[in-house]
Amino acid sequence: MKKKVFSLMAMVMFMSTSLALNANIENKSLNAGTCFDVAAAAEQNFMNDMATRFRIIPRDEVAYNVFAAAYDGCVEAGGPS
Amino acid sequence: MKFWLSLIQIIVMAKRQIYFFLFYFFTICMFSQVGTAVYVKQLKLYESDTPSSNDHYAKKIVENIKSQEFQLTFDKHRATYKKIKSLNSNVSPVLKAMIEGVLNFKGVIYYDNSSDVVLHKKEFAGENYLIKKNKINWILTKDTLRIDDYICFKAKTTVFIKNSEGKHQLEVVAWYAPELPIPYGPDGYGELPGLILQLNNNGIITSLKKIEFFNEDKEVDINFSKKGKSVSEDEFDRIVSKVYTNRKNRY
Repeated sequence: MKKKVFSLMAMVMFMSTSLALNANIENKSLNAGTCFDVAAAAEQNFMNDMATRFRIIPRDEVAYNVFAAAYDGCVEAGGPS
Repeated sequence: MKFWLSLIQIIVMAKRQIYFFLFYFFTICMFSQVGTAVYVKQLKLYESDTPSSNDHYAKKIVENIKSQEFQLTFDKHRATYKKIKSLNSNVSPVLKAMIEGVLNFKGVIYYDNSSDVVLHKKEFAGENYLIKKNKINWILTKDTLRIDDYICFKAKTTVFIKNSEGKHQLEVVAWYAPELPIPYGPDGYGELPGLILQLNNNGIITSLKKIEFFNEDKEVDINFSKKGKSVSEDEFDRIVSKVYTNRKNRY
């Protein structure tokens, strides 16, 4: 279970660092305490990557699917903290 | 006697046209319209030099995209299109959602040539939808491109993507081969006078990897379950938009 929590957090952390977000904002979002925040951060980072790195116009459907998967993963892992 | 002479005269004069007609007739008649086509996808652009530790995940996404294959199974009247290679079991659900997002395709497409209907079945937010695809307004051009042994012609259309940031317009380009008179293609695109061998759509290039033809009497698996909520493309977009906007209440 601990491995899963670490994996999810590490993933969001990896993604967060790719953005223009600075480290403080990143830590704030990760320590915000809810799975919603973690999922929202994962979604936002991915959507930004789609637009900038992959040059793909992101769809709401994709955003929702990433959000839902990140949220479920976080809940399954016992929460962000 | 006069009649027969006139007929021979007409035949001699129209020899070229008759040859052309016979060639065309036999090509269409002899061409087997039962088979399978396998497509692969790749990113049109990938900013791999963006300095960040996110490269690890971006690379994983790119690697997984390359490994995915999609199969179009067709006969004279119908076709289905779906992914045939699943992602590795060690891919996390989050990464899977990201890969599917970049791939720009999920679910199963069903083409019914006789009734001119294209259906897209996919799951969204725990519900199965049966989306009736809009008719595509193609603009056919004279531009050609040789793909493998086939001369392909360019067709383009404009699509709109609505998301939380607004409405975006983009051009979809298809390269189709009239030598293969199969009106289908990848990702629900088709309705052209030849099979689509390459599709450029929203940063993703979908290309034909291999094609196989069978005898006309061979039965291919084009089964398609029509279970799901029937909606139009516009209705589905509205549902997605509503669910996405209200996700805070849902979770």
